[in-house]
Amino acid sequence: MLFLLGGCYDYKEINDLAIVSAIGIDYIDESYLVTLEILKDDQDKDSSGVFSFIKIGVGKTLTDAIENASDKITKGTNFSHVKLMVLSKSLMKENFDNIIDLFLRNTYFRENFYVLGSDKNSPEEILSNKSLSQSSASEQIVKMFQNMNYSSNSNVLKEYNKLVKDYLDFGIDICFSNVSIIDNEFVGDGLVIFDNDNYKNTLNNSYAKLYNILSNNFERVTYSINYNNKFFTVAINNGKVDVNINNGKIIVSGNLMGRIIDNDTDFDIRDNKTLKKIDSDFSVLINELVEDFIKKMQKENSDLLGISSKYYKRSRIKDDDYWKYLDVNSNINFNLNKKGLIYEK
Amino acid sequence: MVKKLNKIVKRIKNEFNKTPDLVIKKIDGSLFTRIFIVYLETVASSDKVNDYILKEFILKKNKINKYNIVSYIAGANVKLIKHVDKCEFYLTNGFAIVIIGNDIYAVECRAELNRSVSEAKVESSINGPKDGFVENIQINVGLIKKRLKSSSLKTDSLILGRKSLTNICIMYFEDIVDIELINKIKNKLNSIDIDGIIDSSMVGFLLTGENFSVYPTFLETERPDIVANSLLKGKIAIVVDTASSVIVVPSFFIDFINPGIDNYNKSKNVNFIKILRIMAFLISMMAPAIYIAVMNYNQETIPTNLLLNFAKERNGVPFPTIIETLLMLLVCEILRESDLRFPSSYGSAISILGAIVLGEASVSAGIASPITIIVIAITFISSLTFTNIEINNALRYFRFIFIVFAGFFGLYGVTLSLFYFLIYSTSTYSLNKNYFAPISPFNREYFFNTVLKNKIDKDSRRSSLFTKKNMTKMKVKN
Repeated sequence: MLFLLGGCYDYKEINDLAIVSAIGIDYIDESYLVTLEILKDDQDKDSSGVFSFIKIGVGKTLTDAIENASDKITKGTNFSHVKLMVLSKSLMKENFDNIIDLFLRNTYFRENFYVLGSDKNSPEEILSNKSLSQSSASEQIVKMFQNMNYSSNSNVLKEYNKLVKDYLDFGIDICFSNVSIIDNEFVGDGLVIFDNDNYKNTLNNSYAKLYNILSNNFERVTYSINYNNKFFTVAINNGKVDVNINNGKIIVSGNLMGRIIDNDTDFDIRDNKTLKKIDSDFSVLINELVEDFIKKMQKENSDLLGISSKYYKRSRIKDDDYWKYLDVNSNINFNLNKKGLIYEK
Repeated sequence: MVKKLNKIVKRIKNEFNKTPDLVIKKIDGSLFTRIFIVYLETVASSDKVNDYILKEFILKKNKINKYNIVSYIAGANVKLIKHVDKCEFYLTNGFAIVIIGNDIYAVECRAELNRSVSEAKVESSINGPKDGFVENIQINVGLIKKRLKSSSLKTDSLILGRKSLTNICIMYFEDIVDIELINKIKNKLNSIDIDGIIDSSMVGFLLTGENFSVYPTFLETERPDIVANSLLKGKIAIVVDTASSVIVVPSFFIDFINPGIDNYNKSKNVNFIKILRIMAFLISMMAPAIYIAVMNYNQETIPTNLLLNFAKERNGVPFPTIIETLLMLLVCEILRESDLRFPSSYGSAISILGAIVLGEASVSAGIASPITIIVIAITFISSLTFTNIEINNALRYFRFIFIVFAGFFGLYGVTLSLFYFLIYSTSTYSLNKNYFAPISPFNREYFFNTVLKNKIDKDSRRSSLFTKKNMTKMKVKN
């Protein structure tokens, strides 16, 4: 009986599995090009780090391409540990809806992998880039984007199931970060935005920061103001912002708090009047940037903040074009926080 | 007269033929008076026979007659035997039989065949009393009575075994215990017709049914303090002569997981240990099964890096995980058995051999992966938390059920086995009481006595699981 157990349905020994950690999908000449990043399990047992290799498959359909890549592997492919999907610009432009459909139906894939775009490099280039570290590309990329919360905060790392939800919900469009290779290093390179399943544009990192602020998903966003060629820098680390349609206008309201990061100016920051001026100047800056961002969204017809959805919930009017033609009025108040950290220069 | 006297001795002689330790001493007294002293020199002490009987009889043989003989016997325990058939019982229990005329007297001259009261070895504890039961019913009953001096502690005595004539005492508090339960136990024991009772476990099996369940349904303890505590709760103790442990009934699953010696520690500290033991039980039962399920079916449930490490370590192992696990478990079971059976002086050799075979050689030879060794080691170390061998055997039974189901169905199989474990446990009974109490059915008082420990001043009521009368244990004065 013990030996019979070895042949049970669905039984697979762990060392007979090719663990796929990332999938890259490209669309060239009406064919899908799938790149599978597979983790190596035959390396030295004592070595630390996660190493990988890639396999490429081509097919007229996405399934064909995945099967084609899987056929080239000596072990059975296991997709339950996929943590990253990289999509090429051509795919995002032409066949993004297919991605949503296939991975939602397939039970062999987990649904909490991250989705990133790559408009400058092909997914194959991204997943095979290991110049600086031998460890797997997906591991490096995911860690880099996760750690951006504590640096520029221009990362929009979204899981597939969150994307599907936004895709299916009325009145909200999807977006995610874009990754590129510059000087053999991975960089977070802006924000890919969509109108439903239509790729619209890739915005730069400053828009990604604003998106994070307006979706109340930020840890530490920095802004600087130039005062006579000397910079005063603050990091916004707390607060809440609300975007809504009110009296025929898009009203952005809320309070943000931040602390001083860098004071190159000769400001006497122990003086209350100076602090008020700083608060006021940064409030103006942020409001200008927010208004610009929302206008950009209106221009691209990409409702990333779900303004139509909120409007529908309040008014029960289902109109996803209404928000595009409204004026934007941003009234965010910025205040310096942690004044105890302010010291005399 | 002389003829009749000879008949009694002859009858004893006939009964005990081929018994070379039977000693018959004849003392000729005054005219027509003959005294016979009969004893078994292996169970009675010749010195005591000499001191209590012979010295006086030989010196004053002319004055002794059947009316005054008792006053010449120096022994403390002298019994008049009304029927010659009883002689067998008294002789085998270390009494000397004095026969004069038609009268038969039994004088206790028991030889000291007992070891002294020593420390409990299996259920040892750092705090609390150290004494443990020995193989003598009187000492054992004494050890219990030393702790509970109330006259309401009753002892019903009976003899079981046609050949062994084993003395058995049923001890309980008359004012606490459920009398129906006592009657049930007495009826059950009285209905037993067996040739010999060698150990208390035999009485336990006969009382609760040996193969009724894989679980131990009676507690055998070597600690008199645990018996005393159980009696106070309303449980019943059965003391068996020649057995070094006492049976406590009814006993539940949790009594074997969290033993009574926990009472000697602060509740705040010991509760952590109690929870840890329950976790150890679950780990020991389920760890190999979960390991097999994760390795063969549900690879998505563990972090990627861990999965990769598992895969790296398993490279080159020729057997499926389940075969590998079962092989290692089998080796461990053999190792445990040999460690238990062999004298302790061989213990270190077995341990070293086990460590080399399991830890090093099997990995180097590619028979098993290091992860399997770790899982098996955790399984076995967790099972060593429980000193009771029977609960360990039950644990092994469930462990194999879990492994087989996990081998067929993965984590779904583990869930199925868990249902089986729960259904099995909740449908087991110890003397008609739910074995899984106080968890199911829930009983607050006993829950905070066993699963967790309450503060001593909060533990003021007896559990309704055992009794419905005299429920107040402690009157708390504000």
